[in-house]
Amino acid sequence: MNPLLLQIENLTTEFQTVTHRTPAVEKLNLTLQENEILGVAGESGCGKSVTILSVLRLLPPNGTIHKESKILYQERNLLQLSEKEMNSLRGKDLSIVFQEPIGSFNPLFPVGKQIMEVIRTHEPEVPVKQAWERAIELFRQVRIPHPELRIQDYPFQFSGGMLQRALIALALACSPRILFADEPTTALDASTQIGILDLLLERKEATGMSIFFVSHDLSLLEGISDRICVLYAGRMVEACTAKELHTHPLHPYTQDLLEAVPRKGTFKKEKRLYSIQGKVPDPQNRPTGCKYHPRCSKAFDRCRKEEPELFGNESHLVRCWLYVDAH
Amino acid sequence: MKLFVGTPLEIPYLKFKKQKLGVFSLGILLLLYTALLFEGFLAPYGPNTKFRDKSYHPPHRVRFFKEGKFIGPYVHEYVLVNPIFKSYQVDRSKVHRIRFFVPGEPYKLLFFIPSTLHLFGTTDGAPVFLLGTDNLGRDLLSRMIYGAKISLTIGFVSIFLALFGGILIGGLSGYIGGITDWLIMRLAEIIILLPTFYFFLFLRSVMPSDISPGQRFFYITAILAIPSWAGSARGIRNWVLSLKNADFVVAAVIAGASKVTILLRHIIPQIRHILILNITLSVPGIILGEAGLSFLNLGITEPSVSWGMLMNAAMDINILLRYPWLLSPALIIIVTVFSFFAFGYALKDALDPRS
Amino acid sequence: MSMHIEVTGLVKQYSLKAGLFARSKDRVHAVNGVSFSIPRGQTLGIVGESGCGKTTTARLLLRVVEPDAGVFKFEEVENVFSLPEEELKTVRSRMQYIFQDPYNSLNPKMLVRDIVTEPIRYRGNYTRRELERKAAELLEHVGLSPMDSRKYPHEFSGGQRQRISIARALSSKPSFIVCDEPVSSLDVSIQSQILNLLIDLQKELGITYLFIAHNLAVVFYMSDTMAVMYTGKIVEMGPSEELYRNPLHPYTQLLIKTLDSEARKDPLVKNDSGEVPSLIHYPTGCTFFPRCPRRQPNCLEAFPPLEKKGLEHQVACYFASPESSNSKAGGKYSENLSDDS
Ligand SMILES: Nc1ncnc2c1ncn2[C@@H]1O[C@H](COP(=O)(O)OP(=O)(O)OP(=O)(O)O)[C@@H](O)[C@H]1O
Ligand SMILES: Nc1ncnc2c1ncn2[C@@H]1O[C@H](COP(=O)(O)OP(=O)(O)O)[C@@H](O)[C@H]1O
Ligand code: SF4
Ligand code: SF4
Ligand SMILES: [Mg+2]
Ligand SMILES: [Mg+2]
Repeated sequence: MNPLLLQIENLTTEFQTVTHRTPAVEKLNLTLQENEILGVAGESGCGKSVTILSVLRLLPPNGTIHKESKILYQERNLLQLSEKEMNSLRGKDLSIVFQEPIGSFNPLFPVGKQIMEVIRTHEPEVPVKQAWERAIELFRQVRIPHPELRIQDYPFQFSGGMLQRALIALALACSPRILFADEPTTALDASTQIGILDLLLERKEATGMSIFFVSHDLSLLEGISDRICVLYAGRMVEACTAKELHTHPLHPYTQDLLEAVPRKGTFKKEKRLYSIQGKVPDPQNRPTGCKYHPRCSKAFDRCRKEEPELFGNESHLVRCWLYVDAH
Repeated sequence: MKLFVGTPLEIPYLKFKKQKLGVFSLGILLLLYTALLFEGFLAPYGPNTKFRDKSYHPPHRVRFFKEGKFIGPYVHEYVLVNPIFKSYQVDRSKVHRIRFFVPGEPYKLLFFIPSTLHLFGTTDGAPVFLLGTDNLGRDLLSRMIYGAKISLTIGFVSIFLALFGGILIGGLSGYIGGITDWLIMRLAEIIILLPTFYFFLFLRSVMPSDISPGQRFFYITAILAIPSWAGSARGIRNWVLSLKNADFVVAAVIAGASKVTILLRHIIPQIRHILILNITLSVPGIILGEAGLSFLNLGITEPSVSWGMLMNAAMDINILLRYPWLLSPALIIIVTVFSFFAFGYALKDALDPRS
Repeated sequence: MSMHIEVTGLVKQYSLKAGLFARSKDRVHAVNGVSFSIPRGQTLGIVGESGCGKTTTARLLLRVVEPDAGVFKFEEVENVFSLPEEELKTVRSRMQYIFQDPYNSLNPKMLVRDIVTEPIRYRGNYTRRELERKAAELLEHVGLSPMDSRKYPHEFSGGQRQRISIARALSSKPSFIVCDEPVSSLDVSIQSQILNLLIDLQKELGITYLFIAHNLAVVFYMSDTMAVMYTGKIVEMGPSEELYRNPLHPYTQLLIKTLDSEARKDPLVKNDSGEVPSLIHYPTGCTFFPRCPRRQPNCLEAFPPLEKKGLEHQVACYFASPESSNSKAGGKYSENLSDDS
C-alpha cells in the first residue's frame, strides 16, 4: 500500500439556510493514497462536491465544517491552516476541475491568458513568454486542435467539450499533487472521455499525483479507479476496490445505480431501464433509519427504524442491514 | 417544514433590507430628489435674487432664546462694517423672527402651480441667509436648492442617453458582428482608455460657445454621456453575444418568436439587473464630471445654477479662507455621491444571487 | 417503408469570425454531405465526438442555422430548406427540439407556464385561460404537477427541468423531435426516467426522434437505426443491433471498444491518438486516416463513399471489414508509420 497522502476524518459539513442547518456530509472517513485514483460515486446532491469543497476550504459563506473534523494532508490539518497558507496550496498542490466548465473561466478574458495567470501566480519567476508557451503545450496535451490559435479565444468561442479540456489544462498547469476532478468528463463524448482519462492516467503515472475522481457513472469509475466509494445522502454507503465493486456490488443502492444505465448491447425493445423511484432526500428531510429505505426495493422493518452502520472489513465496507452478519 | 422560495424580486428585497447603510443612502437620495421637486417652496429666495450690500454675508446664526425666554427661531441683523473686505457685525438690537409658510417671491410649485408661499422666511422684509451669500449677495442655500435640479438630473439624463446609445449600438454590434462590430468595439475601447476628465475637456473644447442655457445643458449632458456610453455598449454587446446562442433563445426562435420579442422577452430581462446597477454606479461619476467641468467654468454657466458652478466661486484660496461657507456645496456633492455608491453597492449585493 | 424524414446532401460551412485582417475564405466544414432518412415513429441515433457536427445537423433541420446545400423532405413538404420564412413558421411547429443543458434551455426570468406554451403562443389565438389549461395538461403529461406552472425554472432540479423542456417540445404537437443529448447532463437515475419517458411518448404519440448523444450505450439503447458521424460525415449507418454486433468501420469499432470498462487497456484504444483533422483545412482523403489502424496509402486519394454492405448497412471505408480479420496487419502498418516519423 502506498503511503497516505490525504486523510479525511469524521468530516461533517453543514449549511445554514434561511430556516435550517442542514448537514450535507456526515461523519465521512476517507483516505487517499499517493499515486492512487479514488472514485467517488453517487447521485446529484449526495455530497460529492461538498466533500471536495470542504477539503479545499472553498465552501460558500453559509457552510461550516464541524470542529471534530480533520483533513490531514502531508501531516498538516488543512482545517487549521491560515487562508494564506491555503491559497498557496490551492491551484498548486491541490487542484480542481469543476463540474461546470463555464463558470470556471472569466468570460471577458481569453482562455490562454487565464491559464498563464495561474502559472504566474504560483510561479512568479516564470517569464510571461514561457508561461504562454506552457499554456500552449497544455492545450496540446489535452488535445485541443490548433493550440496556438485557440489559446487566444474567449470562453464563449469554445464548445462545451473543448472548454472542459481547457479547464483540465488549467488544473494541470502547476503539476498538482492531488487533482480533485468533479465530474470532469460528464460533458465529453465517449472517445474524448477515454482520451482525457488516458491523459489523466498518464499524468498520474508521470508525476505521481493522486486523483480524487467524482462521477455519477459507476462503470466509468470501475474502469479507472483503484478504489471506489459510493455516497448516499451525505454518507458513505459502500467502499471497496474497483475490482470488488465490479464483481460483487453489495449495497442495494449501488446495484440500482448499475441497473439504471443501459449496459452495452441492450436495446429498448429487449428491456426497460430500471428507474430508481423518488429522489435523493433533501438534507433537512432525511428519513429515519436507513436513508435509502424509501427507494430501496429490499427494505424491511428494521431499515425504517434504525440506521445501519458500516459493516464488513477494511477491504469491503457496506452500510446496509442485509450485511449485518457478514464477515 | 416548507422551504422559503422567493420570487425573483422578493429575495433581493430581503437582502437589501438587511444593509443598513444602503437603506440609509436610499433614504437620503429620496429626500434629495423630493427636495428637487419642491425647490421653489424650500428655497427662501430665487437663485438669482441679489441683495444689495449683502455680498459675502456670513451664515446667520439661528437663535431661540431672548433674555432667557424662548421666543422661537430668530436672527439678528448683520451690518456691513467693512465694504472692502466685506466684514459684518451683529446688531443685537434688531431681531427678525423666522416664520414658516410665509409669502415671498413668486415661483411655480412643482414647476406649474403659481405660488408665493415659502417654507420659511421673515415677515419684516429682512433676508435670512442660513448658509450665507456669495460675492453678488445671492443666498447660497437657495442657489444650492435650485442647483440640485441640474446636478441631480444631469446624471440620470446622461446615463439614460448613454444606456440608450449603449443598448442600441452595443446590441446591434453584437447582433451584426463582422467588421461593424470590430470597428465599434475598437472605438469604444479607445474611449474607455482615455482619461475621462481630459476627454470631457476635449469634447468641451469643440462645443460651440454662443448657445442658449438649454442647449448648453444638452451639450454638457451629451459630453458626460459619451464615456459611459462606450462602457455600456461594450458590456451589452458581450452579453448579447453570449445570450444570442443561449439555448433558450434558440428555443424561442424555434417557437416562432420574432426578433423584437426575443430581444424584449428573452435577452433584456437577463441583463435587467446589470442595467440597473450600471445606472446607479455611473450616476455619481457623471455628477462629479459635471461638478468638475462647472468648477472650471466650462460646464453650466449663469444664469443656470449647478453645484459644481457654486464651487467655482470657492476656487480662490484667499476668498475661501475669508468666506469658508462658500464650500458648503462641496458637502452636498460628497453626500450625494457617497449615497449613490453606498446604495449601488448594497443593490449589487442584493441582486447577486451568489451572496 | 415510407419515410417520414429524408435528408439528402446536407452541407454547412461556418465562415470564421473574422477580425479586420483575417482571411475570410477560411471556413469550418461542420457538416459535409450528410444524408439519412427516418421512418415515421422510429428513432435515428447519431453518435460521434464533440465537434463532429451532430448539433449543427440537428439545428440545420430546424433551420436555426441556415444550410449551404441539401434537401430536407418532411412529410408533405418537398424541401423545408427552400420554404419562405412565413411557411417555415407553420411547418416548424411540427418539429421540436430538446436541449442538452437543462439549465441553459429555460429562460430563468419566465414562469414555467409561459415557457411550456411558448411554441403555441405565437401561433393560433389562445386566450390566457386556454394557455394556462394547456400548460397544466402538458406538465401532467411529463410527470410534473400542474401546480408547477407558476414557478420559475430555478426552483426545479435538472431532471425536472428536462421534463419541462420536453413539455415545451410537446406543446405544439410535433411529429418530429430532435433530442440533442437530452440526458447527458443528468444523473444516472434521472437519465433512465427521462429515457423511459421519451420511449413512452414515442409509443403513445408516434413521434419520430433524431436522438443525439455521446454516450454510446444510451444511443444503442434508444435507436432503431444508428449513424456514426466523424468530421461532418456519416461514416457508418445501420440498424443499431447490426451496428453493435457487426461494426465495419474502424472508428465504429473503436467506439464500441470504449464501452468496456477496461477499454483503456485495449491496444486499439490505447494507441488511439484521438487526433481529429482540422475542419478548416479539410483534408482530401479519408479524415480518419491519422487514427486508422488499417490505413493504406490509397485512403488519401478521396473520402470513401458511403456504400451498402448489407441490406440496410452502409459504411464509408475502403477496407471495411469485421475487425478481427484485418486489425493485425493494420496494426503493423501503423507501427511502421510511427517508426518512420
Ligand atoms: N450552498 C449550499 N447551501 C445549502 N445547501 C447546500 C449548498 N450546497 C450544497 N448543498 C446541499 O448539500 C447536498 C450535497 O450537495 P453536492 O453539491 O455535494 O452534491 P453532488 O453529489 O455533488 O451533486 P451534483 O452531482 O449535483 O453536483 C445537497 O443536498 C445540496 O442541496
Ligand atoms: N457558430 C459557429 N462558428 C464557427 N464554428 C462553429 C460554430 N458552431 C459550430 N462550429 C464548429 O462546427 C463544428 C461542429 O459543431 P457542432 O455541430 O456543434 O458539434 P457537436 O454537436 O457534434 O458537438 C465544430 O468544429 C464547431 O467548432
Ligand atoms: S438497510 Fe435496508 S433499506 Fe437500507 S439499503 Fe439495506 S436493505 Fe435497503
Ligand atoms: S478508408 Fe482507409 S483510412 Fe479511412 S477508415 Fe477506411 S481504412 Fe481507415
Ligand atoms: Mg456535484
Ligand atoms: Mg453538441
